[in-house]
Amino acid sequence: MRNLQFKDIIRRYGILIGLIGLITGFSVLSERFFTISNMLIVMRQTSIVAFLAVGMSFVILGAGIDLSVGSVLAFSGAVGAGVMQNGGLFFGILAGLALGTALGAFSGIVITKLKIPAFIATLAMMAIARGGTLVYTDGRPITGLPSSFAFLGRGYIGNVPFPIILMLIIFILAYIVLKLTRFGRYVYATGGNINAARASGIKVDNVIISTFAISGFLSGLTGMVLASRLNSAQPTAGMGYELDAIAAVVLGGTSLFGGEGELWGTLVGAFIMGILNNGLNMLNVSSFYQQVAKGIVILIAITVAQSGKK
Amino acid sequence: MNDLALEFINISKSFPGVQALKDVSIQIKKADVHAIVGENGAGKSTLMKIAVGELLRDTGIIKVFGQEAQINSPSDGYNYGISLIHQEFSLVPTLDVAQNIFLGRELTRGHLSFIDSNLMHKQTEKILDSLKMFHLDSRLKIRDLTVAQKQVVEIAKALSLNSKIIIMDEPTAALTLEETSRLFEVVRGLKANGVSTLFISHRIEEIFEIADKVSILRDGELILTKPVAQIDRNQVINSMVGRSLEFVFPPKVKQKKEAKVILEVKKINKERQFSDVSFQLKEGEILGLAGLVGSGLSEVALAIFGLNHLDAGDIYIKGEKVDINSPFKAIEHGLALLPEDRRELGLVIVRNVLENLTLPALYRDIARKYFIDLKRELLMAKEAQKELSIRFASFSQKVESLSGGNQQKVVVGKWLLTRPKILIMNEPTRGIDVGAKLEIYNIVNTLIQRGIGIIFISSEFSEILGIAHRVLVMSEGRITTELDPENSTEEDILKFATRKKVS
Repeated sequence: MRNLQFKDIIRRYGILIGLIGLITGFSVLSERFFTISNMLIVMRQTSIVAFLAVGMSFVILGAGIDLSVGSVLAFSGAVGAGVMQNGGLFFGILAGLALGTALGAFSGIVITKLKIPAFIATLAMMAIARGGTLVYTDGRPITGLPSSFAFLGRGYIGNVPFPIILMLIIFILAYIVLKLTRFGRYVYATGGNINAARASGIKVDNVIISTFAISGFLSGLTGMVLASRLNSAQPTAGMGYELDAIAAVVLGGTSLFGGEGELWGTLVGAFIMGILNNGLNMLNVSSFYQQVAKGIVILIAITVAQSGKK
Repeated sequence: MNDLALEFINISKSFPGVQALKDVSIQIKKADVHAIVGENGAGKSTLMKIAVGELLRDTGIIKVFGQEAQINSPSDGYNYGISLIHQEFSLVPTLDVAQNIFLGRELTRGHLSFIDSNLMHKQTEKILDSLKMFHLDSRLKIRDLTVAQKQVVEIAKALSLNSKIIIMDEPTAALTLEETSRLFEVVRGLKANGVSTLFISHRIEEIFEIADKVSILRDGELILTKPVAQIDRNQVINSMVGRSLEFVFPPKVKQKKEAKVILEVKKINKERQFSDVSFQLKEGEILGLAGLVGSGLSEVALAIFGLNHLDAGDIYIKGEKVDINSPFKAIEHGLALLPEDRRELGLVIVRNVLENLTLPALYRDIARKYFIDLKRELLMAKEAQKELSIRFASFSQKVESLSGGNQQKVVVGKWLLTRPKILIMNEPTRGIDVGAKLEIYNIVNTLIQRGIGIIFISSEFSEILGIAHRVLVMSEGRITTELDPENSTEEDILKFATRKKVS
């Protein structure tokens, strides 16, 4: 019986224990790691993955996958920045968010109406959006953005970087949508059993399209935050970010089969990804080895989480 | 003593919180058909899984042909010549019949061990021929087969393994009467070849038809083992449920004379599924639709509910022509469907009881605009729980962990919360135990008193006769007759259910 309880704890809080273990480990190895200023930096870095991972949670809970978030982020950031140069701050941000949402919705429509698997449809979108970015920017960064735009990525409220606050707002909103609205229930039900959901009167196509639109919207938002951080829209922005986002969601315990998972797990997963990046930098691990280390940590985490399930 | 094929000696097994088996000892003779019966949760499946090593016993001994057997892991059963045929098949849908039968031990030829497809197909045909009651092409993919055909593939697989003891876990649950009698021919053939069959079933009639002996389990304990010649139907039921339960259908509720027609189906057609199906359903009426699997009944049910598009024909609800092209619209018109396969169409098995119960009602009743009224949701769910006496530990329990009967009640409950006017029940008592069946019949009778019209589809003809006011029989996609259940027998239904198209 004691063994059972232990497994129960691992299953429910394993990922949280992992996060604490990681923080403790880095704190011992580097005295500069566990300081308020570094923690704020970690959180600001995390916010980028977290935006994407929240959107990815909706998609994966609905039994989909979105490989296009990194490219959509770059395209939205570039177009947003381009519009901003002449149209001003408001229309620039609006254009970035609108483009992200539209691209996400488009993927959703392709998946539901043309019945193309999400993996393929978003793989295609990944190529289309990246190509679109390169065409639009001609392969060069877009600079000369209005100074008021800096607040989104580099601003502070008190001592807290604005992206951290934005991350908390997004997280709370997403949590409310998933837990307290009809739509949130429909996402879980559709991901859990699409046929039973349809037979219960749920318009499952609309649900799936909406999850991809949410993912696209948050990719657009991430693109704008990143452009603000760098004071320019980079054509290569967000390369490989889809993997960090998917890793965060899966680390957080969400089932890739859909229908099962909690948003707080995603947030913890995003933090693990952020802390790994930051901690390994602190220890002067070469960026080549960092990739290897990240992969190994993901494998360990998933193994532990699964051992708790059986 | 050496005519025993399989002996369970003092087998015990416990799961966290439950004693699944307590000191169970059963002896199975060579070439016997031995039925194991009991309510859901009685421990039948657990015992069978222990026999082949899919589950590990806590204590006890298994002897095969008089020798103590070391059955400790899933493949051990096969080594001792024991095969278990599951309710849920372990076949690969994308491979063909022969590939499935020889999965993992493919026949090869030459030094490079290329797979010898021809030989595999030849041997498969040979085995299938020995089961000659079923026509089956060894090159068909599993996903294109009916449930009955898949069953046959499983049996063929067991035979190809030279099994001397074959365990069948509710083999007839999804079979029609005709297919069942063919399966029994196969079982008799096995018996003639000296193979012992362990046969789990919910249908008590079948035990008397096929079994030599019967063992009854209740709450993990063996109640009795007897030759079927020395026991009768009521004794079996009483031993199963542990209380005296006269298995009779509840008295029928009389229909009101002035009851209005609420649903009319006029000449609906769907190519290769059904043609010219027409009928009426009145308020408070139970309309029985009887037919064998493949008769087109399920397709008609799906079509009325908007899950199967019609080629032609009209549907009227309360006299008004309606165009139902999705379940969403069907629900709007007061329809509800209890599907044949509740795990596939009825429940989101990974979610909890509460979410499943309130899923269809969220849209119109429980949620205000976008937000769910959590208090109201719980209140309504509790109402349904009380009314149907659904048993579970907590609303946040996954429906996966409920018994078949309680899962079925959750599906009934989720539709009651939408306050339907027409309820289509497709095989509502399949795979649930006697006690739960009776509860479902009682629920049906309560619902019609509220004016709900019920279409009751079943391939169990005794059930249709016992519950319906009026019976339509379907065969090969056409309605072949209407019968009055008071003056008809199961044989009458069968006659019309097997009637071929006149061409």
